[in-house]
Amino acid sequence: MKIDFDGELRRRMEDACLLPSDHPIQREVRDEIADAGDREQQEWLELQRENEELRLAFHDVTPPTGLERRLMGIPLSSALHPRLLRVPRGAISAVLVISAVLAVVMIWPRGSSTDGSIAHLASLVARDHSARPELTVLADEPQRAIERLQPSAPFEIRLKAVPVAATLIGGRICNFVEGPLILTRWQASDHELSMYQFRLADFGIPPNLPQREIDSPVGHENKKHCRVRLWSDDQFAYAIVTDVTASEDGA
Amino acid sequence: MTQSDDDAHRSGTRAGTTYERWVRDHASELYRLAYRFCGDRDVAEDLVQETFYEAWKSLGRLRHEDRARAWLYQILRHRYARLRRTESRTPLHVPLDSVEPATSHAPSEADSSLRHDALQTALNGLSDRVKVPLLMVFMEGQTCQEAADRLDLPLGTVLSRIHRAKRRLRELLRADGPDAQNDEHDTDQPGYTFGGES
Repeated sequence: MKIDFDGELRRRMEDACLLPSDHPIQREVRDEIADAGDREQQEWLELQRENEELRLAFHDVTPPTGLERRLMGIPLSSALHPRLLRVPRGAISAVLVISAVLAVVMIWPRGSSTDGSIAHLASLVARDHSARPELTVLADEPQRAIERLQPSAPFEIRLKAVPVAATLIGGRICNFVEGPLILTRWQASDHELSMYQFRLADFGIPPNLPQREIDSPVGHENKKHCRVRLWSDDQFAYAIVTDVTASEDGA
Repeated sequence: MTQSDDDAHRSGTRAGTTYERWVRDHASELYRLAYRFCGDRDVAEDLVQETFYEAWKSLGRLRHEDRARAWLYQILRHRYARLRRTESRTPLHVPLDSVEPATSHAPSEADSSLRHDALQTALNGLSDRVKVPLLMVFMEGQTCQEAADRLDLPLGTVLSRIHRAKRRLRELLRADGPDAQNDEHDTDQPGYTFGGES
Protein backbone atom coordinates (compact mmCIF):
# COMPACT_ATOMS: atom_id res chain seq x y z
CA MET A 1 0.00 0.00 0.00
CA LYS A 2 1.35 3.36 -0.94
CA ILE A 3 -0.94 5.36 1.29
CA ASP A 4 0.27 6.57 4.66
CA PHE A 5 -2.86 6.57 6.77
CA ASP A 6 -1.39 8.37 9.72
CA GLY A 7 -2.79 11.76 10.51
CA GLU A 8 -6.15 13.31 11.07
CA LEU A 9 -6.83 14.45 7.52
CA ARG A 10 -6.01 11.04 6.07
CA ARG A 11 -8.33 9.34 8.48
CA ARG A 12 -11.11 11.75 7.58
CA MET A 13 -10.33 11.25 3.90
CA GLU A 14 -10.80 7.53 4.32
CA ASP A 15 -14.15 8.00 6.04
CA ALA A 16 -15.31 10.63 3.56
CA CYS A 17 -14.41 8.38 0.66
CA LEU A 18 -17.04 5.90 1.85
CA LEU A 19 -19.79 8.51 1.84
CA PRO A 20 -21.88 9.69 -1.10
CA SER A 21 -20.31 12.54 -3.08
CA ASP A 22 -23.05 14.95 -1.98
CA HIS A 23 -22.63 14.15 1.72
CA PRO A 24 -21.62 17.27 3.71
CA ILE A 25 -18.63 15.47 5.28
CA GLN A 26 -17.27 14.44 1.91
CA ARG A 27 -17.80 17.93 0.48
CA GLU A 28 -15.97 19.44 3.44
CA VAL A 29 -13.04 17.01 3.12
CA ARG A 30 -12.83 17.54 -0.64
CA ASP A 31 -12.59 21.29 -0.04
CA GLU A 32 -9.75 20.70 2.43
CA ILE A 33 -7.96 18.42 -0.02
CA ALA A 34 -8.25 21.02 -2.76
CA ASP A 35 -6.45 23.49 -0.48
CA ALA A 36 -3.95 20.94 0.83
CA GLY A 37 -1.88 20.07 -2.23
CA ASP A 38 -1.02 17.49 -4.87
CA ARG A 39 -0.02 14.75 -2.44
CA GLU A 40 -3.36 14.79 -0.64
CA GLN A 41 -5.24 14.92 -3.95
CA GLN A 42 -3.26 11.95 -5.18
CA GLU A 43 -4.04 10.06 -1.98
CA TRP A 44 -7.73 10.87 -2.36
CA LEU A 45 -7.73 9.33 -5.82
CA GLU A 46 -5.75 6.38 -4.50
CA LEU A 47 -8.32 5.80 -1.76
CA GLN A 48 -11.17 5.85 -4.27
CA ARG A 49 -9.29 3.40 -6.45
CA GLU A 50 -8.59 1.14 -3.49
CA ASN A 51 -12.28 1.06 -2.54
CA GLU A 52 -13.23 0.15 -6.07
CA GLU A 53 -10.63 -2.60 -6.19
CA LEU A 54 -11.91 -3.94 -2.91
CA ARG A 55 -15.48 -3.99 -4.23
CA LEU A 56 -14.40 -5.91 -7.32
CA ALA A 57 -12.23 -8.29 -5.33
CA PHE A 58 -15.05 -9.08 -2.89
CA HIS A 59 -17.37 -9.88 -5.79
CA ASP A 60 -14.80 -12.15 -7.43
CA VAL A 61 -16.36 -15.38 -6.20
CA THR A 62 -17.59 -18.01 -8.62
CA PRO A 63 -20.87 -19.59 -7.50
CA PRO A 64 -20.88 -23.39 -7.67
CA THR A 65 -22.19 -25.03 -10.80
CA GLY A 66 -25.82 -25.98 -10.49
CA LEU A 67 -26.59 -23.64 -7.59
CA GLU A 68 -29.75 -22.29 -9.22
CA ARG A 69 -30.90 -25.77 -10.15
CA ARG A 70 -30.47 -26.98 -6.59
CA LEU A 71 -32.29 -23.94 -5.22
CA MET A 72 -35.14 -24.57 -7.63
CA GLY A 73 -35.23 -28.14 -6.36
CA ILE A 74 -36.10 -27.28 -2.77
CA PRO A 75 -39.61 -28.66 -2.10
CA LEU A 76 -41.28 -25.44 -1.05
CA SER A 77 -44.49 -26.95 0.26
CA SER A 78 -42.62 -29.30 2.55
CA ALA A 79 -42.21 -28.52 6.20
CA LEU A 80 -38.77 -30.07 6.03
CA HIS A 81 -35.82 -27.77 6.30
CA PRO A 82 -33.73 -27.57 3.10
CA ARG A 83 -30.67 -28.84 4.95
CA LEU A 84 -32.53 -32.08 5.65
CA LEU A 85 -33.59 -32.42 2.03
CA ARG A 86 -30.18 -32.08 0.46
CA VAL A 87 -29.18 -34.84 -1.92
CA PRO A 88 -25.81 -36.21 -0.78
CA ARG A 89 -23.00 -34.42 -2.58
CA GLY A 90 -21.44 -37.77 -3.52
CA ALA A 91 -24.55 -38.68 -5.46
CA ILE A 92 -24.56 -35.30 -7.18
CA SER A 93 -20.92 -35.75 -8.11
CA ALA A 94 -21.60 -39.20 -9.55
CA VAL A 95 -24.50 -37.87 -11.61
CA LEU A 96 -22.38 -34.96 -12.80
CA VAL A 97 -19.51 -37.22 -13.84
CA ILE A 98 -21.86 -39.48 -15.80
CA SER A 99 -23.54 -36.45 -17.38
CA ALA A 100 -20.16 -35.00 -18.30
CA VAL A 101 -19.08 -38.26 -19.97
CA LEU A 102 -22.35 -38.41 -21.90
CA ALA A 103 -22.01 -34.75 -22.87
CA VAL A 104 -18.47 -35.32 -24.17
CA VAL A 105 -19.63 -38.33 -26.17
CA MET A 106 -22.51 -36.33 -27.65
CA ILE A 107 -20.55 -33.16 -28.31
CA TRP A 108 -17.37 -34.78 -29.61
CA PRO A 109 -18.45 -35.15 -33.25
CA ARG A 110 -19.54 -31.51 -33.25
CA GLY A 111 -16.18 -30.11 -32.20
CA SER A 112 -15.74 -28.24 -35.43
CA SER A 113 -19.14 -26.60 -34.90
CA THR A 114 -17.94 -25.28 -31.52
CA ASP A 115 -14.75 -23.94 -33.11
CA GLY A 116 -16.90 -22.25 -35.73
CA SER A 117 -19.07 -20.63 -33.04
CA ILE A 118 -15.99 -19.35 -31.22
CA ALA A 119 -14.44 -17.97 -34.39
CA HIS A 120 -17.72 -16.29 -35.29
CA LEU A 121 -18.00 -14.78 -31.82
CA ALA A 122 -14.40 -13.57 -31.87
CA SER A 123 -15.06 -11.90 -35.20
CA LEU A 124 -18.21 -10.21 -33.85
CA VAL A 125 -16.57 -8.75 -30.75
CA ALA A 126 -13.42 -7.77 -32.67
CA ARG A 127 -15.50 -5.80 -35.17
CA ASP A 128 -17.56 -4.24 -32.42
CA HIS A 129 -14.42 -3.25 -30.49
CA SER A 130 -12.88 -1.84 -33.63
CA ALA A 131 -15.99 0.23 -34.41
CA ARG A 132 -15.89 1.78 -30.90
CA PRO A 133 -19.68 2.12 -30.53
CA GLU A 134 -20.84 4.99 -28.40
CA LEU A 135 -21.14 4.07 -24.72
CA THR A 136 -24.54 4.57 -23.13
CA VAL A 137 -23.12 4.70 -19.59
CA LEU A 138 -20.05 6.66 -18.64
CA ALA A 139 -18.59 5.68 -15.28
CA ASP A 140 -15.12 5.22 -13.92
CA GLU A 141 -16.35 3.09 -11.04
CA PRO A 142 -17.33 -0.48 -12.00
CA GLN A 143 -20.05 -0.68 -9.36
CA ARG A 144 -21.65 2.47 -10.70
CA ALA A 145 -21.50 1.13 -14.26
CA ILE A 146 -23.15 -2.10 -13.13
CA GLU A 147 -25.88 -0.21 -11.29
CA ARG A 148 -26.69 1.83 -14.39
CA LEU A 149 -26.52 -1.00 -16.90
CA GLN A 150 -28.21 -3.70 -14.82
CA PRO A 151 -31.81 -2.43 -15.15
CA SER A 152 -31.62 -2.86 -18.94
CA ALA A 153 -29.51 -6.00 -18.92
CA PRO A 154 -31.20 -9.35 -19.64
CA PHE A 155 -28.93 -11.16 -17.17
CA GLU A 156 -26.85 -10.46 -14.11
CA ILE A 157 -23.79 -8.38 -14.88
CA ARG A 158 -20.65 -9.85 -13.36
CA LEU A 159 -17.65 -7.73 -14.19
CA LYS A 160 -14.25 -9.37 -14.20
CA ALA A 161 -10.95 -7.72 -13.42
CA VAL A 162 -9.05 -6.80 -16.56
CA PRO A 163 -5.54 -8.29 -16.76
CA VAL A 164 -3.74 -4.94 -16.88
CA ALA A 165 -3.94 -1.74 -14.84
CA ALA A 166 -6.77 0.11 -16.53
CA THR A 167 -9.48 2.63 -15.75
CA LEU A 168 -13.08 2.02 -16.64
CA ILE A 169 -14.53 4.41 -19.22
CA GLY A 170 -18.09 3.10 -19.35
CA GLY A 171 -20.30 0.50 -20.91
CA ARG A 172 -23.29 -0.37 -23.04
CA ILE A 173 -25.54 -3.30 -23.85
CA CYS A 174 -24.92 -4.66 -27.34
CA ASN A 175 -27.77 -6.52 -28.99
CA PHE A 176 -26.45 -8.87 -31.64
CA VAL A 177 -28.68 -11.21 -33.61
CA GLU A 178 -27.28 -14.11 -31.60
CA GLY A 179 -27.94 -12.51 -28.24
CA PRO A 180 -27.11 -9.62 -25.92
CA LEU A 181 -23.63 -8.78 -24.62
CA ILE A 182 -22.52 -6.42 -21.89
CA LEU A 183 -19.66 -4.25 -23.08
CA THR A 184 -17.34 -2.35 -20.76
CA ARG A 185 -14.52 -0.28 -22.20
CA TRP A 186 -11.31 0.31 -20.28
CA GLN A 187 -8.44 2.73 -20.74
CA ALA A 188 -5.02 1.20 -20.14
CA SER A 189 -1.83 3.26 -20.24
CA ASP A 190 -1.53 3.42 -24.02
CA HIS A 191 -4.54 1.62 -25.42
CA GLU A 192 -8.21 0.88 -24.94
CA LEU A 193 -9.61 -2.55 -24.35
CA SER A 194 -13.14 -3.88 -24.42
CA MET A 195 -14.58 -6.57 -22.21
CA TYR A 196 -17.74 -8.43 -23.22
CA GLN A 197 -19.90 -10.64 -21.04
CA PHE A 198 -22.49 -12.91 -22.64
CA ARG A 199 -24.41 -16.11 -22.08
CA LEU A 200 -22.75 -19.24 -23.40
CA ALA A 201 -26.05 -20.64 -24.62
CA ASP A 202 -26.79 -17.62 -26.82
CA PHE A 203 -23.64 -18.19 -28.85
CA GLY A 204 -23.66 -21.98 -28.92
CA ILE A 205 -20.51 -22.25 -26.82
CA PRO A 206 -20.19 -25.23 -24.49
CA PRO A 207 -19.52 -24.68 -20.78
CA ASN A 208 -16.04 -24.86 -19.25
CA LEU A 209 -14.41 -23.24 -22.24
CA PRO A 210 -10.66 -23.19 -21.56
CA GLN A 211 -9.08 -19.77 -21.97
CA ARG A 212 -7.88 -19.17 -25.49
CA GLU A 213 -6.62 -16.28 -27.60
CA ILE A 214 -7.68 -15.65 -31.16
CA ASP A 215 -6.39 -13.03 -33.57
CA SER A 216 -9.31 -11.83 -35.60
CA PRO A 217 -8.96 -9.70 -38.73
CA VAL A 218 -11.07 -6.55 -38.98
CA GLY A 219 -11.35 -3.47 -41.15
CA HIS A 220 -10.83 -2.82 -44.82
CA GLU A 221 -9.28 -5.85 -46.56
CA ASN A 222 -8.76 -7.33 -43.09
CA LYS A 223 -5.51 -5.41 -42.68
CA LYS A 224 -6.07 -4.78 -38.97
CA HIS A 225 -6.22 -7.43 -36.30
CA CYS A 226 -7.73 -7.60 -32.85
CA ARG A 227 -6.64 -10.04 -30.18
CA VAL A 228 -9.56 -11.73 -28.45
CA ARG A 229 -9.06 -13.57 -25.18
CA LEU A 230 -12.00 -15.84 -24.40
CA TRP A 231 -12.92 -17.87 -21.36
CA SER A 232 -16.05 -19.05 -19.57
CA ASP A 233 -17.25 -18.84 -16.01
CA ASP A 234 -20.43 -20.56 -14.93
CA GLN A 235 -23.10 -19.91 -17.58
CA PHE A 236 -21.29 -16.88 -18.96
CA ALA A 237 -18.31 -16.31 -21.20
CA TYR A 238 -16.07 -13.29 -21.35
CA ALA A 239 -14.03 -11.78 -24.15
CA ILE A 240 -11.33 -9.17 -23.76
CA VAL A 241 -10.47 -7.46 -27.02
CA THR A 242 -7.42 -5.33 -27.75
CA ASP A 243 -5.97 -3.92 -30.93
CA VAL A 244 -2.91 -5.75 -32.20
CA THR A 245 -0.20 -3.18 -32.79
CA ALA A 246 2.10 -3.35 -35.79
CA SER A 247 5.04 -4.48 -33.66
CA GLU A 248 3.04 -7.29 -32.04
CA ASP A 249 1.71 -8.25 -35.43
CA GLY A 250 5.17 -8.65 -36.82
CA ALA A 251 6.44 -10.55 -33.81
CA MET B 1 -48.20 -12.24 -3.13
CA THR B 2 -49.51 -13.15 -6.60
CA GLN B 3 -52.10 -15.80 -7.46
CA SER B 4 -49.34 -18.02 -8.85
CA ASP B 5 -47.40 -17.56 -5.61
CA ASP B 6 -50.50 -18.56 -3.68
CA ASP B 7 -50.93 -21.67 -5.81
CA ALA B 8 -47.27 -22.45 -5.48
CA HIS B 9 -47.43 -22.18 -1.70
CA ARG B 10 -50.17 -24.79 -1.70
CA SER B 11 -48.77 -27.12 -4.32
CA GLY B 12 -45.03 -26.72 -3.88
CA THR B 13 -44.51 -25.85 -7.54
CA ARG B 14 -42.58 -22.75 -8.47
CA ALA B 15 -42.65 -22.19 -12.22
CA GLY B 16 -43.28 -18.53 -13.00
CA THR B 17 -43.37 -17.58 -9.35
CA THR B 18 -41.66 -14.90 -7.34
CA TYR B 19 -39.40 -17.62 -5.95
CA GLU B 20 -38.16 -18.53 -9.43
CA ARG B 21 -37.44 -14.88 -10.17
CA TRP B 22 -35.58 -14.43 -6.88
CA VAL B 23 -33.37 -17.43 -7.57
CA ARG B 24 -32.64 -16.28 -11.10
CA ASP B 25 -31.91 -12.68 -10.10
CA HIS B 26 -30.22 -13.02 -6.72
CA ALA B 27 -28.81 -16.50 -6.12
CA SER B 28 -25.31 -15.72 -7.38
CA GLU B 29 -24.89 -12.45 -5.52
CA LEU B 30 -26.26 -13.96 -2.30
CA TYR B 31 -23.83 -16.84 -2.62
CA ARG B 32 -20.91 -14.44 -3.05
CA LEU B 33 -21.88 -12.56 0.09
CA ALA B 34 -22.46 -15.77 2.04
CA TYR B 35 -19.05 -17.06 0.99
CA ARG B 36 -17.34 -13.83 2.00
CA PHE B 37 -19.11 -14.00 5.36
CA CYS B 38 -18.22 -17.58 6.25
CA GLY B 39 -15.30 -18.52 3.99
CA ASP B 40 -16.64 -22.00 3.31
CA ARG B 41 -18.31 -23.03 0.07
CA ASP B 42 -20.60 -25.66 1.55
CA VAL B 43 -21.70 -23.47 4.43
CA ALA B 44 -22.26 -20.60 1.99
CA GLU B 45 -24.58 -22.74 -0.10
CA ASP B 46 -26.42 -23.86 3.03
CA LEU B 47 -26.91 -20.22 4.00
CA VAL B 48 -28.26 -19.33 0.57
CA GLN B 49 -30.68 -22.28 0.56
CA GLU B 50 -31.91 -21.37 4.01
CA THR B 51 -32.28 -17.75 2.96
CA PHE B 52 -34.49 -18.57 -0.02
CA TYR B 53 -36.49 -21.07 2.01
CA GLU B 54 -37.03 -18.58 4.82
CA ALA B 55 -37.93 -15.82 2.36
CA TRP B 56 -40.45 -18.02 0.58
CA LYS B 57 -42.09 -19.03 3.84
CA SER B 58 -42.37 -15.37 4.83
CA LEU B 59 -43.34 -14.03 1.42
CA GLY B 60 -46.50 -12.46 2.78
CA ARG B 61 -44.40 -10.15 4.95
CA LEU B 62 -42.69 -8.56 1.95
CA ARG B 63 -44.82 -5.52 1.22
CA HIS B 64 -42.89 -4.15 -1.75
CA GLU B 65 -41.43 -6.50 -4.34
CA ASP B 66 -38.84 -3.88 -5.32
CA ARG B 67 -37.30 -4.32 -1.88
CA ALA B 68 -36.84 -8.07 -2.34
CA ARG B 69 -33.08 -7.80 -2.84
CA ALA B 70 -32.51 -5.88 0.38
CA TRP B 71 -34.89 -8.23 2.17
CA LEU B 72 -33.04 -11.34 0.98
CA TYR B 73 -29.73 -9.81 2.07
CA GLN B 74 -31.23 -9.09 5.48
CA ILE B 75 -32.43 -12.68 5.88
CA LEU B 76 -29.00 -13.93 4.86
CA ARG B 77 -27.32 -11.77 7.49
CA HIS B 78 -29.73 -13.07 10.12
CA ARG B 79 -29.05 -16.67 9.10
CA TYR B 80 -25.33 -16.01 9.29
CA ALA B 81 -25.67 -14.40 12.73
CA ARG B 82 -27.71 -17.38 13.90
CA LEU B 83 -25.08 -19.76 12.56
CA ARG B 84 -22.34 -17.91 14.41
CA ARG B 85 -24.33 -17.98 17.65
CA THR B 86 -24.87 -21.72 17.26
CA GLU B 87 -21.18 -22.27 16.57
CA SER B 88 -20.17 -20.26 19.61
CA ARG B 89 -22.49 -22.31 21.84
CA THR B 90 -21.26 -25.63 20.47
CA PRO B 91 -18.06 -26.70 22.22
CA LEU B 92 -15.52 -28.22 19.93
CA HIS B 93 -14.46 -31.68 21.14
CA VAL B 94 -11.60 -33.23 19.26
CA PRO B 95 -10.38 -36.58 20.59
CA LEU B 96 -6.64 -36.40 20.91
CA ASP B 97 -6.08 -39.70 19.15
CA SER B 98 -7.83 -38.36 16.07
CA VAL B 99 -5.39 -35.49 15.67
CA GLU B 100 -2.80 -36.18 13.03
CA PRO B 101 0.49 -34.38 12.63
CA ALA B 102 0.13 -31.49 10.22
CA THR B 103 2.75 -32.89 7.87
CA SER B 104 0.80 -36.07 7.25
CA HIS B 105 -2.36 -34.23 6.27
CA ALA B 106 -2.79 -33.98 2.53
CA PRO B 107 -4.68 -30.74 1.88
CA SER B 108 -7.93 -31.07 0.00
CA GLU B 109 -8.61 -29.12 -3.15
CA ALA B 110 -10.86 -26.76 -1.19
CA ASP B 111 -8.14 -26.18 1.41
CA SER B 112 -5.68 -25.41 -1.30
CA SER B 113 -8.07 -23.08 -3.06
CA LEU B 114 -8.79 -21.25 0.19
CA ARG B 115 -5.10 -20.82 0.92
CA HIS B 116 -4.66 -19.14 -2.43
CA ASP B 117 -7.53 -16.82 -1.70
CA ALA B 118 -5.55 -14.36 0.33
CA LEU B 119 -8.42 -11.91 0.58
CA GLN B 120 -10.79 -14.53 1.99
CA THR B 121 -8.18 -15.72 4.45
CA ALA B 122 -7.73 -12.15 5.60
CA LEU B 123 -11.52 -11.68 5.84
CA ASN B 124 -11.76 -14.82 7.96
CA GLY B 125 -9.42 -13.10 10.41
CA LEU B 126 -11.85 -10.22 10.97
CA SER B 127 -14.45 -10.17 13.70
CA ASP B 128 -18.09 -9.94 12.64
CA ARG B 129 -18.32 -6.54 14.32
CA VAL B 130 -16.18 -5.04 11.59
CA LYS B 131 -16.73 -7.56 8.80
CA VAL B 132 -20.51 -7.22 8.60
CA PRO B 133 -20.63 -3.43 8.04
CA LEU B 134 -17.71 -3.72 5.62
CA LEU B 135 -19.51 -6.28 3.46
CA MET B 136 -22.86 -4.47 3.73
CA VAL B 137 -21.26 -1.44 2.13
CA PHE B 138 -18.81 -3.08 -0.27
CA MET B 139 -20.90 -6.05 -1.41
CA GLU B 140 -24.54 -5.20 -0.79
CA GLY B 141 -24.02 -1.69 -2.08
CA GLN B 142 -25.62 -0.03 0.92
CA THR B 143 -24.53 3.44 1.90
CA CYS B 144 -22.82 3.76 5.26
CA GLN B 145 -25.92 5.54 6.57
CA GLU B 146 -28.18 2.69 5.44
CA ALA B 147 -25.85 0.17 7.07
CA ALA B 148 -25.84 2.26 10.24
CA ASP B 149 -29.65 2.37 10.27
CA ARG B 150 -29.98 -1.38 9.73
CA LEU B 151 -27.40 -2.21 12.38
CA ASP B 152 -28.87 0.40 14.72
CA LEU B 153 -25.53 2.11 15.09
CA PRO B 154 -24.43 5.72 14.71
CA LEU B 155 -22.90 6.58 11.33
CA GLY B 156 -19.57 7.36 13.01
CA THR B 157 -19.42 3.85 14.49
CA VAL B 158 -20.00 2.23 11.10
CA LEU B 159 -17.30 4.41 9.50
CA SER B 160 -14.93 3.57 12.33
CA ARG B 161 -15.59 -0.17 12.02
CA ILE B 162 -15.05 -0.13 8.27
CA HIS B 163 -11.86 1.86 8.79
CA ARG B 164 -10.66 -0.78 11.27
CA ALA B 165 -11.68 -3.60 8.95
CA LYS B 166 -9.76 -2.13 6.01
CA ARG B 167 -6.70 -1.41 8.14
CA ARG B 168 -6.77 -4.98 9.47
CA LEU B 169 -7.20 -6.38 5.96
CA ARG B 170 -4.13 -4.46 4.81
CA GLU B 171 -2.14 -5.82 7.76
CA LEU B 172 -3.29 -9.38 7.15
CA LEU B 173 -2.64 -9.18 3.42
CA ARG B 174 0.83 -7.76 4.07
CA ALA B 175 1.52 -10.53 6.57
CA ASP B 176 0.35 -13.05 4.00
CA GLY B 177 3.11 -11.79 1.74
CA PRO B 178 3.66 -12.26 -1.95
CA ASP B 179 5.01 -15.79 -1.54
CA ALA B 180 2.04 -16.96 0.49
CA GLN B 181 -0.38 -15.31 -1.90
CA ASN B 182 1.16 -17.25 -4.79
CA ASP B 183 -1.07 -15.62 -7.39
CA GLU B 184 0.33 -15.65 -10.86
CA HIS B 185 -1.80 -12.64 -11.80
CA ASP B 186 -0.15 -10.44 -9.20
CA THR B 187 2.74 -9.54 -11.41
CA ASP B 188 0.63 -8.22 -14.25
CA GLN B 189 -2.35 -6.96 -12.28
CA PRO B 190 -0.95 -4.12 -10.23
CA GLY B 191 -4.35 -2.48 -10.11
CA TYR B 192 -5.86 -5.32 -8.09
CA THR B 193 -3.94 -5.20 -4.89
CA PHE B 194 -6.54 -7.09 -2.86
CA GLY B 195 -6.46 -10.14 -5.13
CA GLY B 196 -9.27 -12.39 -6.28
CA GLU B 197 -10.78 -15.66 -5.30
CA SER B 198 -8.79 -17.92 -7.55
